Amino acid sequence: MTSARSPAWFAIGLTLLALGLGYATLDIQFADLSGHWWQAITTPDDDQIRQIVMHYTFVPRLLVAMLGGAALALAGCLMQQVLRNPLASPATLGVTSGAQLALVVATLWAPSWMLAGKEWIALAGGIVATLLVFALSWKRRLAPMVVVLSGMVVSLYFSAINSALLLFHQESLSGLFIWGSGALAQDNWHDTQFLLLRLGIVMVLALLLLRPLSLLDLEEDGAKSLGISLRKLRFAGLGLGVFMTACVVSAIGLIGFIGLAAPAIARLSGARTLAQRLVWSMILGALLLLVTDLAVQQLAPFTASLLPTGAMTAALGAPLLLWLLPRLKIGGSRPTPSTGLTMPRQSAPNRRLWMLGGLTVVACAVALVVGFMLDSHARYPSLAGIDDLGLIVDWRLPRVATAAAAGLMLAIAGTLLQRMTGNPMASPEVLGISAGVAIGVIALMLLPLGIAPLSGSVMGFSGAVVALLVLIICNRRSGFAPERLLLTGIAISSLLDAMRAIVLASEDPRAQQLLSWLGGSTYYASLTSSTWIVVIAIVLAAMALPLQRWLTLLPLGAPTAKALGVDVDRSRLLLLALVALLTVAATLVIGPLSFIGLMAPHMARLMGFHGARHQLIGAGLLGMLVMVSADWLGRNLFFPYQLPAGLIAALIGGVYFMWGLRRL
Amino acid sequence: MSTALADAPADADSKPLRIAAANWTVAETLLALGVQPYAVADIPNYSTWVEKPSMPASTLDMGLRNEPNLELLAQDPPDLLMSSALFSRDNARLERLMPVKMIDNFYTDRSFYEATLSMTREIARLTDREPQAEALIEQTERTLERAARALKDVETPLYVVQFSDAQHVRVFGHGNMVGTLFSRTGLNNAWTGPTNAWGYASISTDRLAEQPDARIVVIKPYPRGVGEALKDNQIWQHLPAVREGRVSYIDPLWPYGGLISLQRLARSLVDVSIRPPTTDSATATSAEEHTP
Repeated sequence: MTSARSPAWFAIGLTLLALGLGYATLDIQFADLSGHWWQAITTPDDDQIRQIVMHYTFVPRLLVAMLGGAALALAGCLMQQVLRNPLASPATLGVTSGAQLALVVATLWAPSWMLAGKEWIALAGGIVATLLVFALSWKRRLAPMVVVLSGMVVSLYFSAINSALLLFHQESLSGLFIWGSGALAQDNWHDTQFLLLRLGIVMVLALLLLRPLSLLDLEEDGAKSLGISLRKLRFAGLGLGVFMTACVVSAIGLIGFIGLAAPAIARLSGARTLAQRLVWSMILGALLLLVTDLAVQQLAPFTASLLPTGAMTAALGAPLLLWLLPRLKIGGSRPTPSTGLTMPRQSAPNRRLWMLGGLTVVACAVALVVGFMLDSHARYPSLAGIDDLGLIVDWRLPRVATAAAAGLMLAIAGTLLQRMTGNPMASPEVLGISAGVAIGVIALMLLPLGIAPLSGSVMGFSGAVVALLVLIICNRRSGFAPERLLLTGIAISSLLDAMRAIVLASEDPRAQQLLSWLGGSTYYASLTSSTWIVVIAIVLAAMALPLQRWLTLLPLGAPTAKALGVDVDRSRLLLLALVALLTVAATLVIGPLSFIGLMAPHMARLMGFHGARHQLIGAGLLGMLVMVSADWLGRNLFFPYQLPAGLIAALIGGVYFMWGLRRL
Repeated sequence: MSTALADAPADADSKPLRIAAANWTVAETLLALGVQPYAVADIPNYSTWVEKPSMPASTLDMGLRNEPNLELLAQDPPDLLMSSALFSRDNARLERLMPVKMIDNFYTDRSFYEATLSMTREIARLTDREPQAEALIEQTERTLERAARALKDVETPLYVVQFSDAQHVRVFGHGNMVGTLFSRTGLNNAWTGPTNAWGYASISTDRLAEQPDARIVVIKPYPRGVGEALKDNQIWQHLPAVREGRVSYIDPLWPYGGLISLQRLARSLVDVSIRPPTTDSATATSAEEHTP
């Protein structure tokens, strides 16, 4: 980026935009008060409801947007400085979703705590998320990309738990949909005062820390030799950032990406010293949220549904993150040819494959036979007898078969990706390919097109292809450095998360169906559909098996593979096409978030399946095993209420993923 | 198939038909016609949000409304499953288990009242309760006429709302039972903006000030924490309707429901419009915090 520019130009542009939009809002919504605007703002007449509205909604909303934006930008800036990581921010460190989950849990199970002070509950959630992220990236000495990767995974994990809670509390939590997607509507000055006071305190404390914090720009040893306790300094700086975020989340809900975008724009447009960056970030953050919110307010009168400002900023933020990635100087590791986990090579993989196969068969049998039985009006868990064959064949078999097929396909897709990229964390879910499929399907749902029979798969496939293209375009220059690749994928997934929040807040009648599909329910599996999906899975799996030569040679690096006679480009393209097909077929039945594609290849390697063929088969069996178990748990845990299999698999798989991250 | 069922003379007394209902509106209508449903979806939430008629303890809970548990139904299939528009994919598969009939009073091209009447008659035909249905419809008509007479001279426009959180309400309009009541009686709806497929719009409370003279009717229950938070909502506290005691609260009822809910709403609206509302709105505000 050129450094001749100053953030001032950017800020002036945004200010003009905000003034224009602000005047338009005033002119449209408060034309009747024209001439009395100032009086209404400062000393409203208690009997004039229009003046009251202006005094208690319009003005505080403007201020809350600016304060919230500035606070998030300040938090982001502090986090970036402390961690010396240009991608750190409240959202990318998982702090916002930790705070959100804490508030949702408190609303459901301890409403009285909410009265004691929402921000403390949010703070507790934020701290838990931060500690989790640190625990995950400790071994890599908080390397920037690993920290952010852990943060985004923690964030996605918490939002999966959130989805599960929402499925069960649809009616009573409709307000939480609104808050969770960051609606800024105000009805008093409390939030303004609340944020102003806390922002003021944090700013003063940040000012006190300014000098020591800016020394962090020096190399670590240099700072140490100046006699600063780095640990205490980092702790203080980070603590301020997390506290600020918790305050914003508890006051106005989830606002995506301002904390990342504002400091990044300030830096890219020429703010150099820490003081400059802090000031400009806060100004830009305030203006960014203000402009977004004013634009949203312009649209409000034309629709019966709410347009959530926070989710809008998140939807805009994901592309911004993708755009920023190649421009930021991020220390990343080179692609490592040998994959991460090193386990002692064990003998006789064939025998263990047979054992694993046996275990999978047993799991399928148990999933088919064990369930709740109904006796007049009592339900109890029980074995099904031979009389219940109809029940098993019609209602359990399709779901078990669908879960198994989806697990198999995701596991194979994950294995292909991990071996092809030499990246132990690659998988269709983590790289955003599943999210691409889901975005395609949601777009289809929202667009007023006639729904042709196959349009779901066509749109899903286009989504997967677009996601793959984005991955390739954003990462080609860096030579597909693992962390950068993963971050690209996570950015695509967070775009899906924002779209989900917008659809849910809109209270569209189809939102519930969408929620259940996104969760990965096998509910609609029928004998016919499951036969199809099983056949597709077997065909695609059979296509993957003969590719083992490529899968053995590609991880050795392109030059080596070329020397050994592999057409690298053609093989990569074919493998990617196969990955796309596998992912689309699996995602359409099981939803985008299951982590099976990540988990199964890892587990296979842990069990000692190192060769390409053994890993493919082992991962496939494990994928089926986990997915069938997840489906069984989802069907029976809260019988007769059912949780989607994909969600359960994500909750199991997320833990595994975090555990795997420790060793990345 | 359902036609076979309808043709067979259902002997209602000797062997009561066992009906499963995925939709709360259908469940409500079944109860109103004197049919005890065999299974209904999400009964705990039915008791909170629909409330009346109350669900008998013997009725089975069959899980979420958009995903009734088929493993459960398959073990002792009902004689008929009444599915809803929310849950209508892939009925062919369900029909191998039991006759399935999609019954809904939304997502039709008719007005809410028309659609609800034909839904009621349809349910009655399937359960052999035609006389009861005609009586129920008669009763509803009388209630509506009585309401129309009682509300003839009411000039004040009315917002009918349900709180989503302390800052946002669903305001009801054209396209559900509130719309029906406004068109059948002399009442004027204060909300004239757009509404969605279920006949409501989600708005922030300040938009209730667009018609300062309006009366506000709040359908309970409140979501958690709203009662407390409303005290701090300065817009709400300053709304002319609130300051001048023109806010009324009515018991939980299902605004997307059937004729019983419609009658309850009509009676409630007459009650609150004729009788001066409770002046002490603060007590009503904090009353019966809902905790399902």
